[in-house]
Amino acid sequence: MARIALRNILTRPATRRYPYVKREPFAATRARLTIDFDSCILCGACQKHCPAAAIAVDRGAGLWRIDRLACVSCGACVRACPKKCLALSNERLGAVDAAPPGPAAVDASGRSEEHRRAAAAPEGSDA
Amino acid sequence: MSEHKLPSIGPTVIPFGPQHPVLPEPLHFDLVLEDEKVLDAVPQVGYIHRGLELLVDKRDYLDYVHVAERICGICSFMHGMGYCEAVESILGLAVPDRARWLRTFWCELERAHSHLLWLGLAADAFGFENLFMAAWRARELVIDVAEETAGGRVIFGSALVGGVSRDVGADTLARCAAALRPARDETLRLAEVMISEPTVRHRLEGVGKLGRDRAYELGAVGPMLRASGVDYDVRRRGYAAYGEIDFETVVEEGGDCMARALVRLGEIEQSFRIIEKVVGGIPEGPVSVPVKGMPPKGEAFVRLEQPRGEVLYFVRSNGTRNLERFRVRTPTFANIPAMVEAMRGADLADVPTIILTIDPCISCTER
Repeated sequence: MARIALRNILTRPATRRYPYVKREPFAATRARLTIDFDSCILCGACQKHCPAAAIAVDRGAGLWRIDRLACVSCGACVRACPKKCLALSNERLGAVDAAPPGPAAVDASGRSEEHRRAAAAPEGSDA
Repeated sequence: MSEHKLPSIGPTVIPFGPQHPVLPEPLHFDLVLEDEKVLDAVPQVGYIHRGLELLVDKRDYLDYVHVAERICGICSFMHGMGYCEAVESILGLAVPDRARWLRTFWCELERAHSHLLWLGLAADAFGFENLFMAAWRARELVIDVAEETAGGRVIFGSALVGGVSRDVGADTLARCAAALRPARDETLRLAEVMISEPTVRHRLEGVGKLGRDRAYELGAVGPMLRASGVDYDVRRRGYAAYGEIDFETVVEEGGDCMARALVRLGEIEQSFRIIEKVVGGIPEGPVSVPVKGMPPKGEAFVRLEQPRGEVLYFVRSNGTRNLERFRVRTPTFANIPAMVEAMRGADLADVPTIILTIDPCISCTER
């Protein structure tokens, strides 16, 4: 009993001092879906394979949109993508509180993220 | 003054659940009581049906594995893997060796963290708060390994028709095996504390007794059946890499809540042993084979051993990209008749303990 009490006084707590000490995510962690929109051909394979219907692709309007709160980070789109422009990063950014890097548009709630290509660009010539 | 005798009011029916502090999931019982003794219990499920089986004819058969994984939050990988094994047997596909071993690795990781979760919940149910926190602290180490290897804490997302979705490097596997050693030592220590604690013994010993023959007749599965002295483990079928790995089946004779707890504590240790063997003996090679085209017409039937017991999967294909039928018989469903039998004659205060020692997973059962 005294031994356990002494040990508990001398050892550090099992928890982290969270706001000051943060746990780094593992390299393998599946978290936020990122897109390299420049190499995207808007084929719509990601939309077709998404089990949560989080991705919407409109080829005519040059639009790729993801609903961040619907995405379950399963990686089905990453496997389906023919151009390998999708990836799951290990950053656990909040679904709605962080603006994505780059010129993507985010709606007022931050819930969905849009990438839009100039409507004048002809299909397939954007390599 | 004449003798005064209270008239008997007969059996009383007390509703238990669907919202009850001891159980986070909605399970309802009508408990028929005579004083404090349970005469009978009428179970009722059906509060969280999500219609996941029906989705199989609306999704591509390769994408449905993500839905199958979400049947349960604890045995998620095994649900995905059971679906994959069923589809692979329709396709006539042989999974690469390394993928079979990795599947075993993740199955055992899941069993360890499921049983540690159960240990915490059970400790919480009989008021042993310290054990609850210590068990979940050990579980956290296991979940970290899951995240490091599969990318997800409880939804591993690594099952794939034709193999597994990602490879794990040798150095990562070795690091994970080392990281699990403290978890194993901690579990052994907790098991020792729990078993030798007189108040715990008092709550568990002789409570909810289920005889060997009766458990078999009622179709109990998993730790519930093994705690009643029946040596039955579907892993002996040798699916994944279990045929090539030496492990013990934990069997107890008591048939009471204590025996069920002992079986689970023993299985956690076995799981850590199997993981060490997988890390030591995993063959090199590819982790998946490409799957193309549509599945031929046919049916398949697969059995696996989940943390809660034997689970059955049935898949029927009609030759298109959408399968016709997917059916899961979960271990909790099979254990409900045995649980009701174990409750008969128990005290009202022991009902939560008996419910928890079958480790019910209602979300799986209703899908």
